Parts: sequence; structure tokens; C-alpha cells
Amino acid sequence: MKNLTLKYNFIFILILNGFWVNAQLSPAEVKTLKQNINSATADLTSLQSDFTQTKHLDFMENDVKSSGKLYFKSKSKIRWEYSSPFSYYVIFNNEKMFVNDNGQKKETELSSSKLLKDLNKIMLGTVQGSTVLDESKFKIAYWRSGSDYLAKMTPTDKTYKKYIQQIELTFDGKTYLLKKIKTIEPSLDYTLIEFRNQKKNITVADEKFAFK
Amino acid sequence: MKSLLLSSLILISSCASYTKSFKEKERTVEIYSPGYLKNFKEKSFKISIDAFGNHFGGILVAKKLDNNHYRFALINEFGGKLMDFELKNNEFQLNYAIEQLNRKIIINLLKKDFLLLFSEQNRIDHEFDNQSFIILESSIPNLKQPVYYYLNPETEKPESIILAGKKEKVKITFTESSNSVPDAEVTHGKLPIKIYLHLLENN
Repeated sequence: MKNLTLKYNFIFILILNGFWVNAQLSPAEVKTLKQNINSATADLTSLQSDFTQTKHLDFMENDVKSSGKLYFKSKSKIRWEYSSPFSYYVIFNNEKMFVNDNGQKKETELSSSKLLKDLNKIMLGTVQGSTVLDESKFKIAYWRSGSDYLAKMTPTDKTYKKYIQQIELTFDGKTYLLKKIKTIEPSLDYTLIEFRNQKKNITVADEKFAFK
Repeated sequence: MKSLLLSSLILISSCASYTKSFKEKERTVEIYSPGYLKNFKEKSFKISIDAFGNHFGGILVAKKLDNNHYRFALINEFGGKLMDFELKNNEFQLNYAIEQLNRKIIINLLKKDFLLLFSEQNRIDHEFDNQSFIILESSIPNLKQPVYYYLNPETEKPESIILAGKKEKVKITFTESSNSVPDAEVTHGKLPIKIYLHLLENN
């Protein structure tokens, strides 16, 4: 009998613990979280970060892994650079997009396509977490995840629904910077981007945003 | 009259068989599979497509599910899935494609190119010699024209695969490399569409 009680206590603690680790935030907590994310990006003048990208396809045994660096300079200069498995980078600067695909270069005006404008917005959103939480196109639920915060975004927009089942954003509980992005497709294949070594407001050379 | 003669001459020459200049020899191979498909489990490639002045880059993943059964996915650099398709016993099956790529002309092009690259256990109908290559002629189900494997006479590795009726329709050229799958460049006759594949080693 004593053993049984112990067992139930143990299960109870496990459940309780589970709730604590992944508890949905109250409206007041959501408000505070949003304020913290906003102020973390309000004073952001630059950011440099390493990232790894994992593409999971259900039919493949191994995930496809890529890695590189992200550079941002206020207000809207951004360089998203893969160094592995091959060199590829995209720069957004001055309403233009520049792609260097292993030496093959291309420059495009952002005004030429809505898709590019959206891509630019998404990339900036990965730095300025506040703009990525777009409640006009997503239903968003906020959770506590260990010492971090998790925003689960389900698209309400028709076009987004075709490509995305859910986006999970993890914000660092201390810096309130975006730490992980998991994009789940309707087929349940997903892409996970994890940021490491985030350096806020350090000097990033203008050279990084030159189209070459 | 002169122009009629000229045009019939052109017609005759264009009808000449693709293998006209080849010397047929006794068949030494009955069934042929390209060497790079042996021990193929799953691999990823950098894929580049240049079509009508536009450049597209991304990653192609390929998995062998069985003999003559492969599954592929085309993803962009940021991980977005653009296409997912299978080749099973020479039949093409589309599992998913974004709207912009879900077009007959694109699907047919990929179907041809991937059948040429990934067909195994192909029955050889004829064998030829020219000065530099051993050439195997095969007919792959679901391809209208014959397929020619150009093998290096010393290594017996394929240096190119050509789909040709009277004229060359598709040509795949391999670049010698130490990788298990050589780099491949696919051209489509006069059509300005080129596809490049390069094996990624760390995946």
C-alpha cells in the first residue's frame, strides 16, 4: 500500500512538473512577454549569431544539416550566410536583395515581387522577434518552456496554410531574443533553425552588407 | 527543283540514325546499372537549375527504397520543401509540388532526367565501339527514345548518358571525381535548361 502511494505521488509530481515546464501563459504573462520582446529589439542596433539548420523529411533516415552566420545592422540590413554544406548567402540592404550562390550572383529589387518582400520581412523577423508575431495571419498561443518561452503560431491566412501547419518560436528567457524557429509543414516534415553565440550590439562591418 | 532537292537532302541527313557512325560489336553486357547506383542508400546533392535566364539553387535529397524505386525531395536553401516525387519501376509519382513547379512541362522534364540518372538493371539491346568509348544502347520503359551509355573503356564508368532519337534530346555529362556519385550536368538539346548535381559529403 505504501509502495502504491509512493508510486501515485511520483506520477503526480511528474504530471505537475510537466505542467510547470510547459505551461500556457496567462493573458497578463503574455502581455509582459510581448513587452520584454519589444524592448529587447527596440535597443537592438546590431546582431551577430551562428545558426544551424536541420531539415527533417520523414522518408529520410538522416536529416539534412546546414550551418552559417547571421548578421544584422539596424534598421534593416541583414546577411543570412550558409557556410556548410556549401557557400550561399543572401543580403537584404536598401530595398534590394542580393544572392551569392557559390559564386553565382544575382541582385533583385524587392519591389519586383511580393514573395521577396515577405522573405525580407521573415528574415528581419528572426532578428526583431516582435514583428514575427503577426496576429493578423496567425493564431498564437504562448507557453513557458523550461526557462524559455514558446510561441506556437498556427496560420489563419489561406496562402500560409498551404505551406505551414505550425511555426514554433522559442524566445530566450533572459535575452528575449529568438533562439529557435521550427517550421512544421502540413506533411509534418519540418525545418528547425537554432541560433547560438548571439552577440547583441557589437560592431558589424558595413562590408558584410556589400553586394559582392 | 533545286530547293526541293536540297530540302530532301536535309530531310535525309536529319533522319540518319544517331548510331550511324558507331561500329556495332557483339554484346558483352546484357543488363546494365550505372556504378554510382550500387550501394546507394540516401544522399543529398546541391542542385542548380539554369532555365531561360533564371537561376535556381537548392538541395536535392534522394533515397533508394528498393531496386528501381527511389524517392526524391527538392528543398530550397532555407529548408522549404518545393517538390517530393518517386520513381518506381520507371513510373513517376508526384507526392507534392508547390504550385509554381506543378506544371506539366517541368514534371516531364524532371521525369526524363531522373529516369536517365536513376534507372537500374537496364536491358542492353546493342553495343557499339567508337574511338573513345564503349557505347551501350538500352530502352528504358517510359522513355520514347533509346538511351546510350558512354562508358570509359578502361574504368567502365559512365562518362555520359544520352537520350537520342535521330537527334540528341538529353545529355548527362559526368565529371570524374572521387565521390561515390560523380558531378553531373544535364543539358536538353537546344532548350536553354541546364541542371547541375553535386554530391554533398557531410550529409
